[in-house]
Amino acid sequence: MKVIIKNWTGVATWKWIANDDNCGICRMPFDGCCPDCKLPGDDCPLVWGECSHCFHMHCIMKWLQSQQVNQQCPMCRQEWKFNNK
Amino acid sequence: MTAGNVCAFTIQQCNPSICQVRIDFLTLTLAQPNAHGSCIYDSMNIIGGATNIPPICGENSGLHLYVDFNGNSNIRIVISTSSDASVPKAWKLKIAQIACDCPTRAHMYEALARKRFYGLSPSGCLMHYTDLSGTVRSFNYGTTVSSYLLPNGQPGTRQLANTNYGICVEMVAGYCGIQWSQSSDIYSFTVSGDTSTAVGQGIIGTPASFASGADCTTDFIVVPNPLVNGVPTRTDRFCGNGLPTLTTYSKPFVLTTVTNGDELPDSGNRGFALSYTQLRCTNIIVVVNDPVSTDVLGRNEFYQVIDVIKKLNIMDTMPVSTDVLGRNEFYQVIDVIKKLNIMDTIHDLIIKNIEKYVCNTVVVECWMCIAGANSEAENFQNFHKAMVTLYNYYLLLSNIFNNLELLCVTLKYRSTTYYQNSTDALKVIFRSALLSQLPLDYKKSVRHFYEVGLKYEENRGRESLDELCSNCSSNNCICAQYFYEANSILLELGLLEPLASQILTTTIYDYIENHVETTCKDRFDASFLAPLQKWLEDVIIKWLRKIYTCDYSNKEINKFNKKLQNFMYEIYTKVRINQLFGIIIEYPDSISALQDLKTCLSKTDLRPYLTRKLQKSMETRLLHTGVSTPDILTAYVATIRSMRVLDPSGLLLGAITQPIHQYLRSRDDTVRCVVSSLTEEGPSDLADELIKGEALQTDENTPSDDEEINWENWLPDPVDADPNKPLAHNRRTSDIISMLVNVYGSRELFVNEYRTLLADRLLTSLTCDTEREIRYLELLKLRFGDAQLHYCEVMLKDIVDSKRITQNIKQDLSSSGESDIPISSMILSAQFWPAFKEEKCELHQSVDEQMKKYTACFETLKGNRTLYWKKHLGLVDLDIELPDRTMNLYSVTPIHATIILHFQDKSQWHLDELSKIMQVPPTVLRRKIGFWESQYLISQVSPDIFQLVEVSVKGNLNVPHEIIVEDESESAMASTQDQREEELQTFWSYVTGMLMNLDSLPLERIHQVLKMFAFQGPTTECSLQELKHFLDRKVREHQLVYSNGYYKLPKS
Repeated sequence: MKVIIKNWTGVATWKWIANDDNCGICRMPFDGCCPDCKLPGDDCPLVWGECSHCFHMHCIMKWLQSQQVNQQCPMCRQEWKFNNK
Repeated sequence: MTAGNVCAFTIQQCNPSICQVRIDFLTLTLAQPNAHGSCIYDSMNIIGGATNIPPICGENSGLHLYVDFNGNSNIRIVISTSSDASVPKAWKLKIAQIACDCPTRAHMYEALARKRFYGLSPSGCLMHYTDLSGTVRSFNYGTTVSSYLLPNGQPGTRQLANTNYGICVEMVAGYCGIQWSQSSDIYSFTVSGDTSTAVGQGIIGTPASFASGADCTTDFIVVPNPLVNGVPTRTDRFCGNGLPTLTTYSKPFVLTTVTNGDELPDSGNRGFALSYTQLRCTNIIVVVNDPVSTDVLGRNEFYQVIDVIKKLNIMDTMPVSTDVLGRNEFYQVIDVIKKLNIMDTIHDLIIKNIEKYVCNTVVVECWMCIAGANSEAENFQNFHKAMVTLYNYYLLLSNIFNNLELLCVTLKYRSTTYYQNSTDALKVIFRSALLSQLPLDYKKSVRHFYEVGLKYEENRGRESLDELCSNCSSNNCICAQYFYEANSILLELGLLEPLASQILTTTIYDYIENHVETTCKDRFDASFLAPLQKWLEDVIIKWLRKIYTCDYSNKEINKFNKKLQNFMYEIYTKVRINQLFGIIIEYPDSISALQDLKTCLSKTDLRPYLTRKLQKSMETRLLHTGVSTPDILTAYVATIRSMRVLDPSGLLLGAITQPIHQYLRSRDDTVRCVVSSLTEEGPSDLADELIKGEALQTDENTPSDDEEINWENWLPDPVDADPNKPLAHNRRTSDIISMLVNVYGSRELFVNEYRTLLADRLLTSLTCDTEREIRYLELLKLRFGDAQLHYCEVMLKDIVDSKRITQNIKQDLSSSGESDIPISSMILSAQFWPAFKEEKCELHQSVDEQMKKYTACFETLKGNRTLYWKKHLGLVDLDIELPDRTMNLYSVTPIHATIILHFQDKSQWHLDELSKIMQVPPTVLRRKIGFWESQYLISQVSPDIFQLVEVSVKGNLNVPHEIIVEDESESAMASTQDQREEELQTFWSYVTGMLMNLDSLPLERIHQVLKMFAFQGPTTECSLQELKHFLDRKVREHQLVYSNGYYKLPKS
């Protein structure tokens, strides 16, 4: 007997590879989207800081814009720098 | 008491309600009056009463008298006696007081029989007798002469002077006259004149010695309007020494006796003792028919009278000849009657005779015709016969009546006793006689008669006349003629109304009912109101007009017409209401029936009946476990639509759908069915409704503007509307989808269910038409709003995206050349999908590897993101090449595919072994293998050992009987119940925290605390009942201890 698989359609869920489940700013899951967005994933991506903390991009941008003086990570108070890995 | 003294009694009223005293002279023996008739020796005087009573003396034992009280003053009886002790004196009186309201007659007979008390005597009657026959006496009448002699030596009188009193006889029911005659004693009427002379001449006690009228001036009796031998005497006073037998029909029966102040010229008078006999009412005929004496009338004249009467045809038997009298004879007769003044008698006589004849002969014969019929046709014939018989007699008798009438007119006689209008008299006699002897089954007979008539009338419109009549089954039908003949007789005799009208009405009602029922039985697709109305006008009303011809004015017929129309509407409405369930189910084919019903409802008051009836039939035919939910929903939607037609106000709808709501709420799969019928092309067309509908308004109260624009079409709320509930709201929600959603009252539930269904559909069919799903989603959004359906939007986008990604990855993989198993995938955003059913399952190694490659590709494509496979989900298309055949299988589940892949590697597996590799529990695995067993690919060679069957030997193959084919419709999503469980689990930490601090708590308190801290947002609400279930489960799992209504943590 020979079994030929013509097509295997699997079901998978995608997930951000991050060290936390929820965004530290909006407390929403990373796999969801920030409060301003409707669609997760490509439309609401994550960004990582050099301090290794990550947030929804829209969340951290908002945060950074609201900081007049120093642009710090809201978690560790280090200066915020995007980690472009 | 010694002679010469006075004895006096005083009778006092016992109480104010006493009016009369009856004094019975059990014994009253006093001295005789003197020759002048005055009681100068002994006397009894009764004074003080309202009645004037002469002094009484002599022998009066056995007599009685009545005295009226004068107001409340006492009545005194004073008996004074002379000193002559040789005359015996004795008295014994019985005195009875009689109350004013004491009945005069009626049950007094009984009372009298017991001699206990007496009825009132009519005023003016000093003596009062109640028997049918008896003897009355004047005071001091006796069979011996008075002991006091006149100066001429003749014996003195016994008659008391100066009296004037009435002796009354009470008329007994059924008796019309009274006959007075002398009693056996020849002296029993010696009232005036010289009695001894009469005795001497030998004429005492004979008519020869009596005087009457103007001859009676001193002492006499008065009998009103007496007849002697049936001939009026023209006088009413009688005196002398003899009395003929007197008969009178004047009421009351009273005999008045008068004596003057001095009895002296008369001698030997004794007064009177007269026998009376009351006469039966019919005796009058006997009196006339049986003349004994012709003294008053001349002999010839008398026979003339008899002749007249004979010619007038009034004798007991019906004469043959009905000729009108000849002219000469007629005048002759009139002369005689005039001369004799007997018109009164003749008139009465004729009427009486006719009455008797009608009663005993005509009516009996007429009703005899009806008896004993069984069939309708027979009854019809019989009734006609009866009417014709009746009418023939009527014609016969009316001849006599005409003669009588002629007689009356000529003599200018006007009867007062009988009928005012003699032309109607005969009809009245007929009517009363007929109605007084109605046979038991006349109703049936009359009913059949009219039914046949009605049937005939209706058929007349349809078929040609020469066709066979269903009634007489003869070619030459004369039923109609019969019918109208009998009917006109009824009409002429004035019998239609009393005899037939009620039956006629019920017959018509039944007929209408029958007609309506047969006409609209099981036909909902046509309107019947107009045809029915036409039928009513053409058949029934026309018929009625014929029946009543001239008797009824147009106005009356119109009134009847209206009544019948109303009745027809009511019947039609009832019929339709009884069919309403069927009508609803057949909507929209039954729209004309509904329109009819709407028209009818506004004309009748059957709305409550409709509600009750429909609810009942819903209950028996729809709302039970035997009906599937989609069917109920279909019926429900049809109901909503029908009710919209029937009652735009939405009130009926509200009342009727209430039970359906309740029932649907109790079904688990309602929401699922609603959602699936919304999105699929189903029989209930909900999808169409969705497309045309507007935004869902479940809990908004803002009035819309169109009400103000269309103010001209405004209608008041129906009378049975509850003023406390504004109807505007109801009207709004008669939108079908809104109503369906409102069955549960929450959009969330709906949306959740929709999400689950959508997820199922997306995951179980790869060919899923996303375009169509998006269209539905957009429509649903219009109703439920964007926010609610946001998740679903993401889900659909996931599917579209994953198609694209798969495309990309496939290219990558194929370019790298390692695509032995083509893998595609659906990449889902887990946060937005409903929870998945978690099942553990390890796939075949080759697939696993391929998946890893796929994941790697994905990771490179989408930086920082990875994939988690739900290995048990998905679909596999595969070909199985066997030595003798090739199987093409589509949409096999991953587990099945994995099993067959494992069997490809090794043709025999032990269940446990396979289970270990696949990490699927053996029970589940066995079930899954069942699928391949049903394909004849794998068979169980010995318990738990499965063997691949490469060459199928059909027929010889020992197919195990209990191949377990798993049920196909297994959802990929976790059931709502599981999801709920999950939610409750989040409370568990709260509960344990609480119990750790507070040791033990009752259920209510836990619920309260949870409400305060844990329940946030509407979906996480949890009822007391639910919490109890949850906690009880924890108790069963030994995570809690329950005692005395308190929950606590077990001591570890």
